Amino acid sequence: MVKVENTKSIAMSDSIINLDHGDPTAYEEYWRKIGDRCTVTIRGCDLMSYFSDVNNLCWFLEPELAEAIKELHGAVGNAATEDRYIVVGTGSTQLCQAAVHALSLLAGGTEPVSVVAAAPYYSTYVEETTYVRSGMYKWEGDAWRFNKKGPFIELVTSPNNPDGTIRETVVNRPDDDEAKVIHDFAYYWPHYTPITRCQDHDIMLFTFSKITGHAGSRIGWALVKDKEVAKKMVEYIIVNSIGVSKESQVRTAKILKVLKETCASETENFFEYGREMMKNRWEGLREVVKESDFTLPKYPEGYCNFFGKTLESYPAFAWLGTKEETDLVNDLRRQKVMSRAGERCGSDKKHVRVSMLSREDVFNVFLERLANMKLIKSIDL
Amino acid sequence: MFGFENMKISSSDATKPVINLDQGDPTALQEYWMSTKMKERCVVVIPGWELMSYFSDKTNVCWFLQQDLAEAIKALHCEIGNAATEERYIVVGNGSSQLCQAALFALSSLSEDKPLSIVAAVPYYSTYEEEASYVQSQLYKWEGDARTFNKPGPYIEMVTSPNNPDGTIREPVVNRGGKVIYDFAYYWPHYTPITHRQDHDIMLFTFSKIAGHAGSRIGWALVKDIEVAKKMVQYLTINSIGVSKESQIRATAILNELTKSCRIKSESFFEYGNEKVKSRWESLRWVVDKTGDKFTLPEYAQAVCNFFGKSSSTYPAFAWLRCNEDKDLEILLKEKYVLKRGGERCGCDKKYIRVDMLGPNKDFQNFLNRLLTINGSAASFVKMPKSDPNLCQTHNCNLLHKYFTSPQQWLSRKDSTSPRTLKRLAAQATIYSIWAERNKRLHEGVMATPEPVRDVILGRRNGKNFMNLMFCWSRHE
Repeated sequence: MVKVENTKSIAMSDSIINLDHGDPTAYEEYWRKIGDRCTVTIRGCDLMSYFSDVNNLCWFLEPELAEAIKELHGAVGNAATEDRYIVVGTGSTQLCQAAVHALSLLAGGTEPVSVVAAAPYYSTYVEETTYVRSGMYKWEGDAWRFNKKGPFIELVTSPNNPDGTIRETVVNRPDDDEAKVIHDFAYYWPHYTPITRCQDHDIMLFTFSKITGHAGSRIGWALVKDKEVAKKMVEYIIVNSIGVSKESQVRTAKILKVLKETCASETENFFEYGREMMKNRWEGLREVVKESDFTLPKYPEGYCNFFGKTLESYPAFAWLGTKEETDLVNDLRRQKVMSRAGERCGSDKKHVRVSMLSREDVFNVFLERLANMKLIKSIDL
Repeated sequence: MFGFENMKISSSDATKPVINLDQGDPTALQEYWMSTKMKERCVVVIPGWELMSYFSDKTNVCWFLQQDLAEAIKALHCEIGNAATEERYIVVGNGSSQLCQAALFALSSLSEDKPLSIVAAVPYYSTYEEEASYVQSQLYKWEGDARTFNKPGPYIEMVTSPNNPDGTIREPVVNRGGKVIYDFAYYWPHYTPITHRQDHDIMLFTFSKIAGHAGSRIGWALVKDIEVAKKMVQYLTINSIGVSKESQIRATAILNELTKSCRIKSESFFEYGNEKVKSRWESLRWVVDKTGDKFTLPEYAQAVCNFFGKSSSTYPAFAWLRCNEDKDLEILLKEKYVLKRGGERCGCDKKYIRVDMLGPNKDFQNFLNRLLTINGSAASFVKMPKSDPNLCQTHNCNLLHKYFTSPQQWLSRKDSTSPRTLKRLAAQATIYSIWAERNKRLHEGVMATPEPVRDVILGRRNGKNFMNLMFCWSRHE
């Protein structure tokens, strides 16, 4: 192999960059510019009780957060909130487990309920449905190949994690009462994808982490139609953690409120900012990947009701592939780039999931190292 | 479940206010934080751009634990002297509830044989049973009372000390070389003497019960074994990708304040908290004493508290109240619109209930009052004369007797001796007098006799508006 130390394509930094997890630090700059509008002050005597609203089915949900959630969905138009119960959770991670638990419990029966998702799927679904080895449900893998009888739950993420595609259910048994679907809309926001319709499903999950980048707050919410499902989800969260941090809820409410206000601004619209940032990053990535053995999905344009025009998708993760028969995660690791192996997502070794939400300098280093790999391959030929 | 079914009737009804002392919401401690001094001291300000990352400290086993919180935890334990923190891993959780489940997961995952039996000595914290069974895990299985446990194989014993619900100091009961998870939620000087520095493999603590900040959902585990700590972190990662950073920042500020002020008597939260629970226990014991042999409370031994430097008793956050008659105490109290956790939920029997000692002042006082009214025990406030209780006599004690046995009947019944107006006035005056008397006894320790009550009524007999009624009244004197 030809040595390449003297070329301009060498990375400036030698440290390992981790793009395996989706830590959304990219948005920090925006919130710094917003300044004190989102500052939250909490006194020693505030938020002490377990209870937020004893008259609500989800009694640990702070009323101001419930209001902020409804207002934001109303402003963005991405999900229906009327005639639904809001269940707050410690991240949509906890809510997903609460929903699987609730649906399995309500399914009754003696056999575990099957849980499936269409590959490539969010790798964490596998861990979430297997780690405690519950007898109530069983991970059955790829929804595309699922043909077992009996009650089942399909997890549908749209836009999908890891490949950013718009998804519908795959296991279509429309007359089957035992078929339940949990829709994960973590990325169904205008900075990632056109808002083509107001989603209106039985169970819809959202996460604060991926809207604004506040992953450390550990806040997610579920919009649930069925009261019995909502109750069972609340019961799960009660036993699991007796509710959800009030401090996080109050802060989330404040930030979502400011976020909604920026939607009406021409200069500070968060979703404009986010979209611009994602667009730049994706264009940079596509430029590097062009005329190489690397592959990236193509996304169709769609009319976005929020922005009022036809737009492209810029997912939070890049589903990077290679035409070569190689183990891409290891290839990247040799370049000191950590990514999530495609096999973990129910796919193959030729694909990896790469976070598009890291800090700007980290992302730039990634592009440099990718370019370096491309160069090395071209020199090898 | 965690009293979820009780939530629907916890709001006040003007005619029948419900007192919910089932859940253990430590609002009594809020007073301390509401004082002017404390309000200013523990203010936490969080700008919009902070705490955004999932990660707190990537070099730490518990990568979502804020470093400042780890320091604050160690500093407080050091100052109070209740637990060793050296050579241990701190694992933070969304409440010690989640940590307990993380510990069950960790220990059973590391065990070659599964499922592990989970036991706790009766009476136990009712939530343990729920925590160990709600997901129907094949890793572990709830096997109930540790005292009667004799199944072979690996097990985990939950030891809570001071115990929830009965406040006793506990040690493991099974003692067969299994694993033990110690829950020291209440091992703080305001509840119990700190007799020694706890030094076990897995020790759980909760922020909720130290200073009352239950809404923050913060707990921590002090774990000796790195593999156990790693598995607990793995559980918390999958379960909720860590713990709220906002709550951790807040817990840090409050714990630091507790440490800073704990040796200043006028400011020490532990002094305040100790006085608060002590005074409530004294009121409860006084009331229980007044009900004769109807109820019993546990007695606790005195011990020297290393923190306060003197001998003191235990004043647990829950009172384990026993009814000495053969009755279901939970139902009995429900009839008085008082919600409690029944003994059966704690592995015990129906004669016991768990009473929250840290609820709001008003609820606690109302509870004491209703305890006194169970089965007409309020009649003990005044002596009962020996006369026909069916006649409307002038003596207030007979009125009391009639009132508490069939008030509606007595008030609505027509008779030639007592006009309805007179009865109503008598009833009103009686209720008022009893309430005033009750307040004087509880708050001032002063006890009246029946004579002044009679004299107040008789003193008005010459009053113009009441003359006819008083004539009727005094005819029977």
